[in-house]
Amino acid sequence: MLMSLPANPVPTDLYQILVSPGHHWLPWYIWGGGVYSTKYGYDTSKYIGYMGTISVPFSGHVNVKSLRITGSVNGSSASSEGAMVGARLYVREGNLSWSLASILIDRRTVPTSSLGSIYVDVTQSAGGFAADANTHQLAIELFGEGQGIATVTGFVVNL
Amino acid sequence: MNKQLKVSRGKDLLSIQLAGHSYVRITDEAGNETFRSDSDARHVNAIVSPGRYVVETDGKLNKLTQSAREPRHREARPVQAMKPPKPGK
Repeated sequence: MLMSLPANPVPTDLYQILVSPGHHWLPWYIWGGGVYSTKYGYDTSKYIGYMGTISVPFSGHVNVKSLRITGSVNGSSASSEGAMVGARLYVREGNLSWSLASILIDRRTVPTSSLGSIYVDVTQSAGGFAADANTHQLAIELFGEGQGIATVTGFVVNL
Repeated sequence: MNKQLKVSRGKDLLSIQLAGHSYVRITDEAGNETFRSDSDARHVNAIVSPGRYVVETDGKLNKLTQSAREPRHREARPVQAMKPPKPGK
């Protein structure tokens, strides 16, 4: 089963933070699907932040085969660094959680001109983890860093 | 084009530079696909565990670089929610 978490507009309060006296816009456009909650602590001096957590609903018994991310990540340009985006598929069991699959796209120091294409379509194996909806929950954590623009258009979890 | 690769202990990030491709994928010793990119971007990152792999593409592999992720980009170790770390640790 391919579970697609399509692109939905993210509420404004997820991608802007208040910096006195006005708003400071994050350098990413974050899109996600499903039920999500933000836990970012964006540090504007270090350009790093947790962008959100997207739940992955499922029922019964499944084998978690892979996590896929699609979108675009810009590289650096002149003196401005590019963007980095990371996504992790987590499983929770009781009061323990751990990562089944991790994706990292780091283009902070890669010139956009040498990329050829800024698009990303990356699939990472989750090892076929046997999940049971009665005891496990799944969620994708999204984080980013850098000054460049990245757009996540969707996640696909192959169950 | 493909290339065999041994990822050393302490390394967990592969930077792959390639050209003229439509995909690049990494398989482990058992032939299981652990990573795949279906973009024609010429710079790709892959997270891997130590071990032996084959990097395969329909284009040209220009450069493979192993490195370690920055600590803040690594997964946290499993944490007991009922026993949170002490402040400052």
